[in-house]
Amino acid sequence: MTKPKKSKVNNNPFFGILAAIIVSIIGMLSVYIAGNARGYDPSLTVLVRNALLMSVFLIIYYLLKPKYKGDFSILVVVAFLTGLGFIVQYRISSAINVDFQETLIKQYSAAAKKKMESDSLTTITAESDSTASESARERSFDAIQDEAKQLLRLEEFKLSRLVREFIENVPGWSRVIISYLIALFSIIYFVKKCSNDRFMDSLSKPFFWVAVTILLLCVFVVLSEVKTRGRFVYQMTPWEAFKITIIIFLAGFFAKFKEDFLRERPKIKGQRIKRMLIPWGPFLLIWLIPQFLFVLLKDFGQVIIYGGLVVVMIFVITKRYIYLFGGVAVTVITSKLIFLSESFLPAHVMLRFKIWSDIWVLPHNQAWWDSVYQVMNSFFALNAGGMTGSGLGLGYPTNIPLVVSDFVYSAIGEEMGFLGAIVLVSAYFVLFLLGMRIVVESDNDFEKLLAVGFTTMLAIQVFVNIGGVIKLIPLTGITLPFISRGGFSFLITFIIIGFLMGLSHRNGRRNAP
Amino acid sequence: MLLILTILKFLILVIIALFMLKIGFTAIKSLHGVFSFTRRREISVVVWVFIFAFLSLLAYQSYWQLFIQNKYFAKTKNLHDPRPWIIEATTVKGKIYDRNTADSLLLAGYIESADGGLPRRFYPLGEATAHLVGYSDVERGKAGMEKFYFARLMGLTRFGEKEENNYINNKYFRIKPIGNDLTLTIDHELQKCAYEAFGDNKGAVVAIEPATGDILVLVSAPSYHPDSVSVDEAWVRIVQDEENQRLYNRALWGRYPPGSTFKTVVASAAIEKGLDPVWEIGASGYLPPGVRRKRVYDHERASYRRRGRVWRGQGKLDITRALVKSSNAYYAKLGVTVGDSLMHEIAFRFGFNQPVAWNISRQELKDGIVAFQSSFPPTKNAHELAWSSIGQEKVLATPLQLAMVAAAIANNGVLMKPKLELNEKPQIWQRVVTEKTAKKVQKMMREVVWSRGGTAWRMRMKEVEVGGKTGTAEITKIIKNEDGSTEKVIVNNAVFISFAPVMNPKIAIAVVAEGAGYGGAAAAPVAKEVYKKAHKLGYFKNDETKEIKSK
Repeated sequence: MTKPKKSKVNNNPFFGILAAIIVSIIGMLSVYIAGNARGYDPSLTVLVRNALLMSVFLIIYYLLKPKYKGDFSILVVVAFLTGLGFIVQYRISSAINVDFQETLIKQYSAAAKKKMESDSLTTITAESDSTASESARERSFDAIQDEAKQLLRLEEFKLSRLVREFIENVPGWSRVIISYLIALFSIIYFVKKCSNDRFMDSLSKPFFWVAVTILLLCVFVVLSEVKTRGRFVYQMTPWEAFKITIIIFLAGFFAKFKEDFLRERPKIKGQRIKRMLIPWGPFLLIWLIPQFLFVLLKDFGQVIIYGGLVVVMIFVITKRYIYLFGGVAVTVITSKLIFLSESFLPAHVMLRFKIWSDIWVLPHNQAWWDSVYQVMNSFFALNAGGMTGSGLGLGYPTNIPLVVSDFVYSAIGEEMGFLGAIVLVSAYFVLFLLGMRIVVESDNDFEKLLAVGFTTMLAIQVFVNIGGVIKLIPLTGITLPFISRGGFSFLITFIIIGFLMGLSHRNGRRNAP
Repeated sequence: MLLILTILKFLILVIIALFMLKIGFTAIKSLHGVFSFTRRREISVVVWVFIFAFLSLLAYQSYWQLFIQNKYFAKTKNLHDPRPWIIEATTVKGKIYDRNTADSLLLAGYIESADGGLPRRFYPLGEATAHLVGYSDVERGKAGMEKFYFARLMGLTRFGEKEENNYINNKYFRIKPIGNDLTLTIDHELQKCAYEAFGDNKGAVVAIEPATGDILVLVSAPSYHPDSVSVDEAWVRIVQDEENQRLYNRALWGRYPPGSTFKTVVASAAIEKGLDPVWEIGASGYLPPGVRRKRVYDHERASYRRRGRVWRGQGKLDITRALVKSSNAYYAKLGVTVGDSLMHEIAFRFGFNQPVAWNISRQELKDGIVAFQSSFPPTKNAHELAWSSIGQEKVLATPLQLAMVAAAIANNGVLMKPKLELNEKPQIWQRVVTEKTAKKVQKMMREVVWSRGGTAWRMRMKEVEVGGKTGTAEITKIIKNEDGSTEKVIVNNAVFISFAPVMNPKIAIAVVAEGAGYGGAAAAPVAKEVYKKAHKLGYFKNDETKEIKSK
């Protein structure tokens, strides 16, 4: 075996980050130009805000620069991906707002008319004079319309458009800015934490993280109960936080009980179960409880992610192919079982499986169309995009339901074409390679497993999302990292990046002369 | 600006791709040995699994995005993809003009919508041009010129510089798409006049300029208002009106027995053959030879009997006099004398038994303008030939075909390709009969109007000298009673073909009125109104300003 050469790490990501910022500004500007020409009126303030948020990457670089010895390439790739995300989100949101307002006004005026009719009925019974009731009807209609305008904040300010937009968007602004800033600065926080050996030691204690995970589980259960009441909690998706604690737990656990996993099977029958119980028992307990919960919640995307994660981690630590092939076999068998046991599964999951296995199942009636509506619209978008795409701001991706979060990839496919999709997927792949580089260069099992866990987590998430959008695998409700909207998943993704950069920093510090 | 957007898009992709290549290359270098399974085998396996996964993603996506050839997908996309409708709603489609563009009265244009939304498609002539111009609706589809010339109206055709510019904008940039205008050969004054003259009748009016093939009038009645297509209740009422079949374009798709108007075709064939027999037509009519026998009587026999008088026959008739009196017996005999092969030859040259050859030089119209074929099926025996010769039996003609018959005779025996687009150059479809024959038939048709006892005496007028031929086709119609039982009723379709002026024909008109009675009484007055209007508009003036001579 050859001794690994010391390969250079990227110490100057300045131009990369600058290019990412420029790319995002160019993209948003072209969306702005196209939007103005086509008349869906994108907001200039949001463009400036996004550009400013992008420039935070430079601040992070300058804050990390003095002490950081790891690979800055991760930050560059993340900056590019986030920049692409800003472009797409800017594109979609600027188109949606117009439609959204219109539909709101229509809905409201329809409701107002109904209200008006019921009002006029009462006035007619009260007053016999028809003209008076008509004028009252008109008055009430005007009043309701004014109310609608006030609600939608559409009344004309005598201010410039920029200032008006600023004032109108402040509530939305603060939420977006705060969540993005927290996400971005969590990179610095976790990089610094990871350079601390005591922190890493505390991370590698698996049973502490069992406690944390169970605590989070409780919170999660409580929150999922609350979920239905308000949208706020629903948007938070608290189980995203699991991703981190469960990876830390698994890494610590596998690192600690590596020998137990690798040990040959004891010959004596009584001891076999006892010996097997030590490594497998706690692992299966902690791993299966959330899996079971996700099954109950019908969130099969998460099941796939955690399943794939565990398979990869066990394989990396034991180097036994049986776990990899066993994982694949289990997936195949479960999907077969799912087909066989129709009554066990909820109807919508069954439907998704059926659509996945044969989308052209006859007859093509309304029920069929309702079931394939989402995926088919995504195909229409991809097909309209073709090789080079329709151009930023020049497509029609807003027809796809959930295009902001789950189906953001088809928007990219339509407006940037297949070339844009290749670039995006290759960016994710480069991020994956950078993660694997950390794995290869790390010297102890815990750090290695941690890096493997975080990297494969991101990669599987990308695969599950894109695969669902293009119907390679059944559709699941998983977001695309860095691109999809959603403050909390964004935060978790950046914490993962912070951990990866911290691990890279530890490798770099160790290898440094 | 349009170019800049594309350049910017590719700039973004190229910048990202370059940086990804650079970073990816260094990453691959640092992972040396991993890709070739020489170092860290477990990591190699994981890396290769994910390479395979990502590549399979792109491969599968490329199928949906680039290579898909599924008929189900094409069908579903055609049915459910909202993009074409969004594009159509946001495109300023081309206007449709009539031939008098100077009058600036459109057949289709735009009007500001009342609720402040996008401008609404507007058809100023409303019901008069409903079948011709058609409609375009999200739920109800397209019809008429809005369908046939859809690509041009949307600016997706590329002939000439202006259209090319529009095409590039609309296809690739889609910024404020603009369509290309269309100028039809229709004269809106005549169209309106014809529709109003038609009144409550069912049927169609077609007017052709014989020398060029320009279609001046294309009216189908009963009609519908194009604005009512997008209104649910009105649409339901139109569709459920089974008795009137309002959406059916009778001018192009209605196939009617031509009745006595087919005698002009028989006369053309006979004169072409050099026949001008003088026959004694008695009260007993004509009995065609052969197995199946049914006497052909003249129409006077029935009317005389109705009045309680006895029909004593026409006496001696030559070919002209027989056309004037519209003698069924004479023309049945003449048809049998001419023979099956020549009859079919001449009818084929008039346009029967073949698809309509539209004058369309541009290949943008995939389906072309849909007009049904007129048919004169091969006859098995003399009986069928005799009855076919007087336009009964299995002979069916569209109003457009009838107008073409009149136009071919009026144009001295040369049939022009019918055309709807003004910019096209006139094209000869085929020569039907010799000029001499055509002149003879023209004179005969003049006599039908002006001679004593002519069936089209109602067409005599001061303004212009008209030549024509009336027709009354008997059809059995099945009528549903209220209690559900069906009943067979014999109905008379009024048919009239004509041209004017006789000396130098400028317009040829065909009128078909379903179940309206005798051709001379029900159909001819409609043509008369149109001729009067045309005279007012100066169609029959001798100066060369209004007409296009291009023979």
